[in-house]
Amino acid sequence: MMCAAVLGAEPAGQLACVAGTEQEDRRVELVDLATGAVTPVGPGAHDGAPTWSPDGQWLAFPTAGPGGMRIRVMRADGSETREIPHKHPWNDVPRWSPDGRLLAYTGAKEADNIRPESLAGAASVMVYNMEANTEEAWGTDTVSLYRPVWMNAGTVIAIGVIPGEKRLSSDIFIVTPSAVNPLPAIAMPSAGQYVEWAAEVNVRENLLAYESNDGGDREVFVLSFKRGSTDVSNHRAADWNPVWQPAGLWLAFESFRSGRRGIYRVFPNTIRVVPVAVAAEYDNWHPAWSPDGAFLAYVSDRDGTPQLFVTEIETGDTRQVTTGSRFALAPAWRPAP
Amino acid sequence: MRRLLWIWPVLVLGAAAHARHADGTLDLIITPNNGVPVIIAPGEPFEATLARRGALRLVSAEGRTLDLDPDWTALPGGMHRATCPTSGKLATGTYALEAVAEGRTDTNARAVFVTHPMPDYPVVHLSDVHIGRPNRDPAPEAVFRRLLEQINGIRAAFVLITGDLTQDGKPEEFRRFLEALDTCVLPTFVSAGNHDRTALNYEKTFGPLVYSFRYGPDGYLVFDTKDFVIADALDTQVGELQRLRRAIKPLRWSIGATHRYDPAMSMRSQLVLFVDDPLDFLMFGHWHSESEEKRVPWRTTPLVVTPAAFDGAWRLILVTQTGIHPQDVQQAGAATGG
Repeated sequence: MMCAAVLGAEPAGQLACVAGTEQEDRRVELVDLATGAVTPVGPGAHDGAPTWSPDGQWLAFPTAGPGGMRIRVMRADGSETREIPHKHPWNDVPRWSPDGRLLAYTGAKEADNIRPESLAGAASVMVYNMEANTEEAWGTDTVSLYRPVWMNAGTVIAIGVIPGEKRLSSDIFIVTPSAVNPLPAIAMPSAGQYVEWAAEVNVRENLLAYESNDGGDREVFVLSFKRGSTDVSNHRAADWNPVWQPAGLWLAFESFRSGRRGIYRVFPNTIRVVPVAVAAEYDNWHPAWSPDGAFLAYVSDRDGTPQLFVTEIETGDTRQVTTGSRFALAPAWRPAP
Repeated sequence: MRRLLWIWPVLVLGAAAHARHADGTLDLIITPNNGVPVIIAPGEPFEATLARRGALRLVSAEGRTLDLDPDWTALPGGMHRATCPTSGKLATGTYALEAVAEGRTDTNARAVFVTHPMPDYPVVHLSDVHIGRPNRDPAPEAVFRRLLEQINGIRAAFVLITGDLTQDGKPEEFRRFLEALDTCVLPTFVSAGNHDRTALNYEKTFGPLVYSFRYGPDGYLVFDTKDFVIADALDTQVGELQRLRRAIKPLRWSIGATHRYDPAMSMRSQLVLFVDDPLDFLMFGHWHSESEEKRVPWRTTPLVVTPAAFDGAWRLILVTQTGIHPQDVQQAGAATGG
């Protein structure tokens, strides 16, 4: 991966991403937006999407481990790496708690864990404690849980996949160290009927964004614990992958409403949808907000190979960040110190 | 069944001109090719993807040529899409597509099939050819040729070959596969398998890993799951998968073809294929044997697995107004050894 353009004073900072075309060779790397310098960070063995700790000092990402995938936790400068004592061989999608002390992720006994006959407990919410260097399972084995995100230091939201009589469905669950409970019916009256995915908590505004096929196709909803659930993308084309702006005012998401996968943002209070990166002949995906919420980094295959781009929200000015024949994927903007 | 088979027009082996590069990789014309052809009715347009713009024409099995007048669209990566109208008087049969650009001529044989699709039709499904697999007697190549010889004796709409075309994905193995493939008189659609994904050799030989095509009232979505057996964030093809799946949704049946169905595939791709707009049917191979699983774990899409072609296995699938009906596995000569 090479840096295509040295960006000016804005945007600044670093992007972590996954670089490499073959899955076996994909590596977490850092791209410095001011200098263009690219620094390899991960071991380069099936490295997965990185996520930053809230203080911007640590990175967590999945990488190949014995008989599966493990979560690697390391300082961004490479000076320290933690070996998580995993209970399960398959671990994925790490997320830091708001205070950076805990790391939640999905842990599973098998890679192919979406099987109705053995669904209960097939995947769990695992939590790693940075201070104690311990891992524990949260919740119970009554439901298979995926993709945890933090509500607060003692609670995560996770997607539970549930075997039904005719087909599987999923619901949103509140998970604590000792309990698993679905969202109250008053908040989610369609529980058990649809397949929800990609829940994202807005801690600042006390909102929950998620996607669901409620309504016939995949849509992005925002659940306010005061006002209930609202379809904020509302289009007959698929809309998915909501990502909150750090300040919590806007929600970026991917949509196919122009034909191909593009990036849009929506102001949930008024459901005002604004295109950010949309094209007729190529895809744009995986939006990642800058810490100040003024830019979105994302992946685009406009040159035939997936590379990183950055668009300034207000002006639409777009700069290509990486070039080369290797893929650049899953950007994550380093939090401001 | 017999009535269905008789209503099919006899397809003639297309122009024998072979181009590609000397090593078997694609040259000017990426698609259509003999692994990703187009099937159209006379008067229907078709799309071609080329590395360069140039003059395009169809060449019939008898050597007749028909100049095309395409509309061109620039594509990412410096590629070009040619949308080619055809005449309603275009004779049915098998055509090669020829391109001339910058003094070079490239010809993709068995690329364009002109026919009158019928609402009910048989499809041949085979998988796991494994050209180059060692310690097999007879060799997989010989079994594949014998199998195609048998298939040439029936009347089906087309052949779907769902991956592991080769043992190690080597260019030499792809060349041998292509030579055998061109003995088939039917249109042949291929997908990549895990054994084929060495470097970019599959893509250089056949082009896209994800594509769709239409036959009569039905839509087919062909994909490779290797790139989907990963977390959502690294799934680079799911956008194309969603776009093509939605494009065929209005058709009578939406039929998927892949090498390996895997419940470990990214959740995003599972939502696209089996939850939001579930495929009506999915055919695949990889297991080299019959499957006891009848549906994907989401309990939506029915599955059919056809055992390995290197063991001589293939299957006829009847696609009718009432559904998709897999027939018993056929054998084109038994193989022995490892």
